[in-house]
This record gives sequence, C-alpha cells and structure tokens, in this order.
Amino acid sequence: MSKLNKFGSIKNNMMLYSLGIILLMAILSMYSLSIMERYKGQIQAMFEKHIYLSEVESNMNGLDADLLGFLTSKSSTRLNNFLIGVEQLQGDISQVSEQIYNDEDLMMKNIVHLVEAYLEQSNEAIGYKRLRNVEKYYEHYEYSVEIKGYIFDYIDQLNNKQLNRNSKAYLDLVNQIRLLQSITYIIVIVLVLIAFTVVYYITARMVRPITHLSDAAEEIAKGNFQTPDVYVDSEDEFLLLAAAFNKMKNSISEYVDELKKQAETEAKLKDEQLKNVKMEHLLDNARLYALQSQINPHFMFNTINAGVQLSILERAPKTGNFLETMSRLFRYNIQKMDTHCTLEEEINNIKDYYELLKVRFGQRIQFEFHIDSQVTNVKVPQLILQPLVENAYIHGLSGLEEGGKIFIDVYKNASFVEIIVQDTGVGMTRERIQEILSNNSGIGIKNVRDRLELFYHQHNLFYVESEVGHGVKITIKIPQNME
Amino acid sequence: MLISINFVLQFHVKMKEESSLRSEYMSNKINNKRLFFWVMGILVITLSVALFAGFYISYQLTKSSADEYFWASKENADYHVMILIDGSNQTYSEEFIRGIEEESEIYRVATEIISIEGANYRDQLIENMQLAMYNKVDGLIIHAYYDDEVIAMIDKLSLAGIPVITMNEDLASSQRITYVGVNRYTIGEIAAQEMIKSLGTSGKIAVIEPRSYEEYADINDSLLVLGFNDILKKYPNITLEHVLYTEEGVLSAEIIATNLMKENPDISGIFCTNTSNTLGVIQVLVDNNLVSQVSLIGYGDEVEILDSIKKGNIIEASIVTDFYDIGKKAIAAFYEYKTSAFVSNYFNTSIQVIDQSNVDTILLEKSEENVKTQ
Repeated sequence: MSKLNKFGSIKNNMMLYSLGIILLMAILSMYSLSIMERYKGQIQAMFEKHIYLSEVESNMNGLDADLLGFLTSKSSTRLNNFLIGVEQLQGDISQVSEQIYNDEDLMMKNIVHLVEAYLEQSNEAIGYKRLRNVEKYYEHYEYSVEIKGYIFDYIDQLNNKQLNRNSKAYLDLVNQIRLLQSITYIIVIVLVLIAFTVVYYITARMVRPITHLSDAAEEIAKGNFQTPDVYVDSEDEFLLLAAAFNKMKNSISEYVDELKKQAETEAKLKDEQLKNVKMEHLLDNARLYALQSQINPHFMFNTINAGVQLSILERAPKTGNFLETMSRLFRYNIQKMDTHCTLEEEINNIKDYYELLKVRFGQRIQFEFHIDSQVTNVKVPQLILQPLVENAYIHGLSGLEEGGKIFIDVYKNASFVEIIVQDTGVGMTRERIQEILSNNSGIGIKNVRDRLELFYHQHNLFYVESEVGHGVKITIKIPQNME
Repeated sequence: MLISINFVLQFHVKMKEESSLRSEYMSNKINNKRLFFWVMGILVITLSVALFAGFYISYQLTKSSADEYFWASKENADYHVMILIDGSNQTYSEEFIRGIEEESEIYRVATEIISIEGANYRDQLIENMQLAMYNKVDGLIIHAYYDDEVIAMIDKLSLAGIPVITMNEDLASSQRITYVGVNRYTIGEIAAQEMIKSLGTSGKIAVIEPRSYEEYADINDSLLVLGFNDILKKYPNITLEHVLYTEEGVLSAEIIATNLMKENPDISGIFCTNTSNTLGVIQVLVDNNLVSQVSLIGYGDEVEILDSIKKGNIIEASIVTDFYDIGKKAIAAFYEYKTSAFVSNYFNTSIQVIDQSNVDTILLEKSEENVKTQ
C-alpha cells in the first residue's frame, strides 16, 4: 500500500477527469445563461419605455375622467381619486431623467413639462370650480384637455419611434440569435467531442494494461510461459497488478520446468523397469518353453542318472555315455536358465544335443562345427543356439528321407562375433519367415531374437535367410565390446 | 562452459525481445498521446473561438441597440430649441436642416423641428407656439409673417422667458430677440436691378407673391415691394403695375399668370418671389409662346429653374436665399443670446443671383452634391 500512495491512483484520476467534464458542462451552462441574461436585458430595454408610456397614458385618462367627474358633479370621491391619480402621475414623471441625449429624451422631457402644465391647469380648474367661477374653470379645463392632447401626441410619436427602432432591433436580434444558436450548437458539439475524446483516452489508458494482461494470460493458458513480461508505464494500480502478474508467471514457469525435469527422470526410470520386466517375461517364456518340451525335467534327470548307473553296472559304456550326455543337456537347461553364459558353454550344449541325435538318427543328420577358438569365451544369453538347432532339425531336416547337415560356424569379424546356424533342409518362404519372427507361436526363434536385443540393447543382431528347397541360414551378431 | 555461454545468450535474446516489445509499446503510446493532445488542442481552440464569438456577438447586440445620441460626441444637450417651419415652403430644404444640425452640434442644442403642413399655417403656428410654452423650451425659432396674433404670441413667450427668433419676416414690432434671414428690401432691389438689365428703359412689371403674405401684410409695408420701387424711381418708364397673390402649388401660379397675360398683354416683366410660382410662370410663358415678349425674374435654385436659365430667354435670372446660412445663424443667434443676453437685432444672410454667366458653375456644384449625397 505504501507503494500505491506514491502513485496517482485510478480513483484520483477518474475523479479528476469527471471534474473536468463537469467543469466543461458548467462552462456551457454559464455561457448559455449569460447570453440569455443579455437578451432578457435587451428585450426589457425594448419594451420598458413602451410600458411606462402606456401607464402614463392610462393614468392620464383616469385623471381626466376623475377631473371631469369632479367638475360636473363636485363629487369628493372623484376629487380624491383625482388626487391619488396626481400623486401616481407625479411619481411616474419624477423617474424621467433631466438629461437629454436624443430625440426620445427630448420628447420625454416635453411629456414631463406637459404633465406639469396639465396638473397646473387642472388644479386651476378645480380651484375655480370651488369658487363657482364657471367660465374660468371651463377655460382651464379646456386647456388641460388641450395639453392632454399634446401629451398623447408625444406618446404616439414616441411609440411610433420606438416601434420603428424596435422592429429594426428585432430583425437584428433575430439574425444574431440565429447566429448565436449556430455557435451554441457548435459549442455543444465541440464539448461533446471533448468529453468523448477524454473518456476515450482515459478508457484506452485504463484498458490497455488490462488487454496486455489478458493477452499474456491467454498465452499462459495455452501453456506458453515464454511470453515476455507485461509492461505498464502508468503509475497506478495497474503497475502493481502487472508486476504481480509477471512475478506469478515467472514463478509458474520455473515450477513447470522443474516438474518437467522430474517427469522426464521418472519416465526414464519407468522405461528401465519396463525393460527389465519384459526381459524377465521373455526368460519366463523360454523357461516355460523348455519345461514344456521336456516333461518333468527333474524326474527325467533323476531317471537318466539312474540309467547311467544301471549302464555302468551292466558294463554298457555307450549307453552310459549316451545317458550322461543327455543328463548334461538337461542340467544345462535347468540350471542356467536365468543367467548368461559363454559361447563355449552354448556350443558344448549343442554338441551334447548332437550326440543324442546321433544315437537316434545315426548318420542321417550330421552337424558340422567351424568354431574360432579365440571367441569361445564371449558372453551370450543362455539357450540361444538350442532353439535354432532344434528348429533346423524339426522343421528343416526331420521330414527329409535322405537326412541332411546342420552347420554351426562361429568366427570373428571386424566388430562382431558372428554365429551362423545353417541347414540343408526344406527351407522356408519369405512369408513363413515373417510369420515366425512376428508371432510367438513360432516359439523359439522370436524369443531368441528378442532376448538378444534386450541383452545387448541393440537391434539388427538376428538375420534369417531362406529359400524353399535350399535350407535356412540364421545369423547372430554378437557385439564384441560385450566381452 | 558451453552451457553457461548458451545460457547467457538465451538471456540476452530474451532481454532484447522484451526491450523491443517495450519500445513498440512506448512508441504506440506516444503516438496515441500525441494524437490525443492534437485533437484536444484543436477542440479547445474551436471551443474558445466559438465562446469568444458568442460573447462578441451578444456584446455587439447590446451595443447596437444601445441608446442613440444626437451627436458623435455622445454629450447631452444643454438647450432645447423648437423650430417651427412652413412645410409647404420648399425652400426649407435639406440645406436649412443641415445648417441647423451642424451648428446645434457645436453649441449642444437639442432641436425639435416641427414642419407645419396644410393650408391653415397661422392657427397651427400659434398652437405650436403655445405647445412650446407648455414644453418650457429654451428657445423658439419660427417661420414668421406679419400677424397680430403671432406677434401677441411672441410677446407672451418672451414674457414667459422663452426667446423667439424670427425667420422669413422680421416682425420688428414684436418682442422677438432677433431676425435671421434675407433682407426682403434687398431682394426687391436686386430683382428690380435684374429686371432693368433685361427690360432696358421702359416696361410694365407684375410681382407674383404667395397668398399667405397678402392676408396679413400691408402692401405698402412690404419691404420687398419697397426695395423694388426704390430702384424703379430712377426709371420713370418702368412701372410696377400689379402685385398678385397665388394659392399654394404650381397650378395656382399658372392660372394667375395666364389671366394676367390675357388681361394685360402689355406686361413685359414678371418677378416671382418663390420657387413654385417661378415654375408655374415658366410653364405659362413657354405654352403661350411669350418667352421672348416677357422677361422673368425667378426665385430658387431648383434644377428646372437652372435648366431654364441655361437654355436662355425663358428666364433671365433667379434669386437664391442661402438657407444653410439661415439655419446656422439662427442657432448661433440663440446661443449668443443665451450666453451673453445680448444679440444683434437682425442677421442678414447672403443672397445669390443666378443668371447665364454663372449657371454652369451652379449646375456643376449641384450635380457634385448629388453624387456626394448618393
């Protein structure tokens, strides 16, 4: 509040402007009133003398009637009335100035002297009437009538003169009033324009900061906190409002940035977790697959171990070897399901698998290994080769009467260790390859690829090539830096 | 390091953006403000001009209808003088009024000029003299002629303290303070001299005068005839045969002149003592082809009379009274009387004779005057 006190507040400004407008209207009213006052004076001056003369005329007539009434009837009432009339008339003429400036003054002066002469003559007549001197009072009465005639002549002349002058003045007056009317219209219009301009200016001045604020608020509502600060240069409440708004905007902006960073971190974390879950899920699938493909491995494992012991007792070393190989294969599958292993272990597992197949199929299915011994300690996810070999044997070679070969090549190239599993079986169409890679029903293949990608965090590590009648070639690329 | 530079750069860009926005806002605001002050300025100026014009016009109005004044000096009058003149007498022209007005401005005399119209001049004159008494005027100037009642009225006014100045006729027997005007004796003399110039050594002459003077004046008392006859004494063969009186108007003069010529075909000279008679006689002479037979001495400087002089033969000469001079001198005499209580018994005003020798100059002056008054 102390800050606000320094500024002219909106309230003060509004009051100032309103006072200004009221002042303008007051000027207009004062102007109209003063003009009206002038006209009033003018019109009064025009008719003042006329009214005065009419009064004198009617007084004279009354006086004459009373005089005649007294002279004929000697009525004291008439005389009384006459004396009252005289007083009135004397009052009237005493107002007339003695100074003569123009013809009208001259006539007024004449009227005054004539009235005096009239009163003189009528008093003479009354005096002679009282003395019962008929001849004299009649004579003086005649004089008074004559003088009355002169007075009326002068009044007529004066009235005529004034009528002439007034009619001329009236025409001037009408013209000037018309002109003044136009001027007054102009003044009213100008005042209205001034009021309008002032109101417009004030409103614009007040609304401008609000518009800026609302524009900025709209931008913020859209989520854009990068709008520049609202600038207000008026020194009133709007300045405070704008400052508060800018502060609020910047605070929100900072807060939102922080929230964004936090969300990003959380998203990364979640992603990581999701990947882990997926990995486990895939491992589970592989494990399930392994379990499904061998009925009750523990029972089988124990049974096979019993078989090994039996073959030793019976001195049948081939059977013993067979069962031992089988036992190793099962152990490998069961024990190292959820960890990684070396490439060598994987290849040994396949060799065991091959031993078993040799017992079953003899020379019909042959395996050929070309292993680069330098890369056998490369770490790989467990059980990636067995599903491929199984697939080659089941889908590629088992249907062929003459049997076939499965090649397993491992060698090192520039940045990868390449593992190639190739068969000489029936092969697959391109559509069948797509089906296997996109669909879980193909069991092993897709599972192997997904696990590779998850393990190495890279794509394009797994390739399947095939032609119908020319076998299938599966290439796995193991990135070297994973050593 | 890189990050910090980037940050500084970003900050800089933001500042720049803001400052440009700010300057745009400021320039908009300044433009608006300038426009506002321009509009307000124009409106306020218009308002002031309109207000001023309104006050000025209303002020002019009160000024225009303010009281009138006798004179430009706006002074009040010290005296009130009533002037009674004969409305039928054309000689009381604008010249006379001009003389009165010019002089009354100098002495601050308010004049009330009453021009008496109609045939009964005498009664109205007396009536108005009575009015002047009732009005308590400071002075009275009258177109007078010899009449007992007029003289009695003059005496009455003088007794009441109102000085009376006579014009036209002296009325020396009355209590008038002074006479202003031409000396009628001199007019008679001049007319006779002009007549002799035209007639030579013998001839019979008639004088035609307006009617009003006949009733109240004894012909022997008429200064005009006296002056006329005094000159003729040296010429025994030239005689004044008739003095005839006309009623008002031009026609009366025509009738009288026609009768005169019928009854006295031997008349060889006519002298008319006013303008309308002169114009009437000119008509008769022209119509009856008597132009070469009769010499005419006229009165007045009407354009028709001047034209006749210019044409030659019709009218020999015309005698003109200077009424401007009469007007001036009448007021001056009143003022002199009022201020010094003494004034000379009469003021003679100038008499001019117009004949063929100077008629062109007079006509030129007249036309110049006309142009001026127009």
